Amino acid sequence: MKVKGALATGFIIALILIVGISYAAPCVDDFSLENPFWNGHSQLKLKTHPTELLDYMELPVGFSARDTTLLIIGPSKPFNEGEVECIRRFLEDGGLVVLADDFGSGNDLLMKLKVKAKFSALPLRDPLFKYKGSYLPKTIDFKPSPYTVNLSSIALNHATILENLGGEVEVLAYSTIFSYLGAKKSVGPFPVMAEVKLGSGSLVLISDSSIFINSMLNKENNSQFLANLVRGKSVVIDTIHWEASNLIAFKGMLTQIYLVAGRIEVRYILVALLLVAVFKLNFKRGEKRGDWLKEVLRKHPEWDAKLLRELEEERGIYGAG
Amino acid sequence: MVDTDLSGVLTKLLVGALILTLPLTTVLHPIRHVDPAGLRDEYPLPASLYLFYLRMVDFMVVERWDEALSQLKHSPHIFVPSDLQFIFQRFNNLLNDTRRDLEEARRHIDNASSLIDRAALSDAELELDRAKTLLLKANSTLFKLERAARHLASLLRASPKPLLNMIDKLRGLISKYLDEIDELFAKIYRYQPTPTKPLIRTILTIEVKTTIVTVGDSVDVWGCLTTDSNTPLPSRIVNIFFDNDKIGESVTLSNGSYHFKFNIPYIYKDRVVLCAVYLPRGVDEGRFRPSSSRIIILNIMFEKPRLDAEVPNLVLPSLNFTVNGRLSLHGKGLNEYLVLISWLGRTITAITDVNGVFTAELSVPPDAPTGVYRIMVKARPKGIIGPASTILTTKVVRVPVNVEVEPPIASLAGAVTIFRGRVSVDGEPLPYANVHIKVGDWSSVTFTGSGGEFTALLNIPPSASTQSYDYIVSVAPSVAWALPVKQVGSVFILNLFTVEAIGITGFVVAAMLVRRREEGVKVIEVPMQVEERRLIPHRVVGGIADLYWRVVGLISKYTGVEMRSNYTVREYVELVRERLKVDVYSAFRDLSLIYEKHLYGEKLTGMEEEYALQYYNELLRMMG
Repeated sequence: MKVKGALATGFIIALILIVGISYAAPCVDDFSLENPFWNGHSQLKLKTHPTELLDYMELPVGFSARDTTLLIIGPSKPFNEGEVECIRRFLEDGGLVVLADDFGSGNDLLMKLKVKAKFSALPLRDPLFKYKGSYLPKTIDFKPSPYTVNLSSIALNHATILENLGGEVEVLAYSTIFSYLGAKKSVGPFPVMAEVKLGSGSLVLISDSSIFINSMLNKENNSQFLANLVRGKSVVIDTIHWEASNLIAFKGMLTQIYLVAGRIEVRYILVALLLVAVFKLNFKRGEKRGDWLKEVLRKHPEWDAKLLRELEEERGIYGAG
Repeated sequence: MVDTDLSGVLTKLLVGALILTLPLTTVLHPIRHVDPAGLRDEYPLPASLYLFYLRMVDFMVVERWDEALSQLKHSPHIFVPSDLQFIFQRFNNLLNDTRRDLEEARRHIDNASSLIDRAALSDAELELDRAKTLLLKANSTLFKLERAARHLASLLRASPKPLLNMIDKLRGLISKYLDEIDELFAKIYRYQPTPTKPLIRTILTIEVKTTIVTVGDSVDVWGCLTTDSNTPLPSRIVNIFFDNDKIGESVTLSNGSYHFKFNIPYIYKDRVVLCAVYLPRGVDEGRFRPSSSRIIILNIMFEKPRLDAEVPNLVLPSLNFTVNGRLSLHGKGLNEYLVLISWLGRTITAITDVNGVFTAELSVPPDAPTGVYRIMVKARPKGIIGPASTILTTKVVRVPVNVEVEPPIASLAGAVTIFRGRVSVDGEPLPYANVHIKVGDWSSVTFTGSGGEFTALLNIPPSASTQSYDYIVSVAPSVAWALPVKQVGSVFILNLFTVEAIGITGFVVAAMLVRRREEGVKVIEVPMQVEERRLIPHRVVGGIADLYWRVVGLISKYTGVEMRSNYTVREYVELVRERLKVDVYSAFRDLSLIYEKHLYGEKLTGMEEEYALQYYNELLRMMG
């Protein structure tokens, strides 16, 4: 009995600790809006106050396309046909979609949107115009556009380039002539940002998914670029195409449990169960301490009640039973 | 020993496998970003840096100064580690100084050439002196630049040769400019007298009939070229300059006079400079000195029309609006004049009618941001009618939409909830607007009818819990000029199933409470019940137990079998069975069973107690 009690107590304490630590542990997921570290988007969240898009079905009906910028940054999961259709409708209604990607599933979306342009799989390097290292190249050549106003330099982080740009695509920015791809097989300038007109809307392609992460947002004019993209518009960000870590999944589960527990019926049932548990416990305790003597006396009325009480007290004093 | 060897081999295999696997992992999962704070500073690649400077120098050599400057302006974006910063900055500053001096020198040389053409030799000399000074300064800067180049190359651990070659190119440019200056000076010297070469001074006059002329009018210019001793110089070329540009030339006649006729260009300037210049050519070089006439200021006359135009103060996206205007001169409309109207980077044209009135329709792009915009209206000149222009302003606005929602007061889970409402703009119904209603996690979409009304049916699933939910009604108008709107409120949803569950739970809890209370009462009331219900204690002190043990005492004496503490009630009955008469045994057995029930079973009934007393009395009687 004692072992069972210890196990149960240990289990409850462990459960509380796990939940507490998971709740308190900061998020470190790539691109996460809750991640305050170098690879998170907490600064972007502060600057743009985005609405997290959890279901693409909400996009055509929940937001006015003309007044909304949809950010799809570093998607890792493929897009299903329903999602692509929602994006297509959003664009046709005059929305602005910013697709920032390098080695993710951006090409999958472009292919399904029937846009010929695509993200190259090769890493872009620049030995001269860079931030510290050649894998963090800078872009200094911008074409006139509302999205490139007041930009003199943008810092990228492990970027790639845009390929297959036809007449439908208007290039917004090029890498420098000193940049090169992979093992110097081809040299710049390469297009790194472009705009594709689809319907009444625009699809802005950026060949780097890391341009707005916390450690890059304050570099060069990255912050200004973000401001240009979202100026005067409400921001919606796709968070469902990011790979969530176990910690985030567990946090999500806890949130769901909290939401379920917050329901009025569940709250009442929990309170009732708690009451039942408390009464049950009290009842058993009462039985142990007082009712034992009464029961014995009931069965053996010939026994000396005074003596039995004295014995009961001694049992209590010496911790027996 | 063998174990140690084996573990060492295994460790090496593991490390080897990791080393082989890591690059593969990198290929499969390319790095999407790194923390910039954790990166080590990388030196710029010398070849790329040299190429950057070489491009700039090449622009300078071909005198594309703006592009050279633009290239240099990019230099702050080049990343150089802190130990390289100073020399990098110094090199850039020196290079920029050289660029600026060379560009200035070029400008002075060009000015000098132009001044020589207009016989302003003294001014030309001054310009050339300034150019020469700048070139000497640039040459001096190049020596400093050379030292900075060597220093920079040494820090980059690269050869300075490409940079030095580049500096040599700049020296070549300086040398070229100096040659040009020398040539221009030589030209000036040819026009200037020396002690060994006295030149004859010339005098050039210029006249016009009137200094007030109308655009397009023919103007006669005449004058005379003579020596200072009034000897006419025939067959000499006289250049005529209008608004600082050479407009033509004339040849002097035998009396030294010249005549030139030209039409005033349609330049629509109020005042323009006119003059004539004589530059000795051929055999005249070294004989005569150049001369320029006085400067005549021509007042150009042209008509300045009045352009009036107007646009609405507020315009709506996706809708057209009209620009109305009138071009007039002294109140009279100007017919068939071209009017250009520009806004948002686009230009459309209109033609004035006989009354000078023009109308143009402009469209507001659906995605035009709200705000104030300028519209430029220009009327093209025609003949003596000069241009006219005006700037108009208008504001792109979107009209807020009004939505009235009639939500249900309460709704049942598992049933259909109906939201009704009406969408309007300035009191007018707004048809075909998209209406999205969201309650909790459930949503519904509908459109407004021709009267702006809508009815949305929302299925609330049976799983919905009982509570008050926030609803959001979002209206996205089908027209770009209307602003989308959201209205929020709350609706109470009742789930009968869950309410029932709560009721059942409450019932269970209540039942448990009642049961507990009853049990508690029983426990407390036991002694009283015993006293009330027990028949035995009234007659025998000690109750059923006392009766039993008294009988046991008699039985043990009678049979000689003692009741020990390790015997159960039934064991004792079996032990004494053989030694008792049948009727005594039967009565003792029945009494023992009642006592056993008293000890281990439920409470005895009154009847049982009666029986027990009866058996006791019988046994006393039978055993004497």
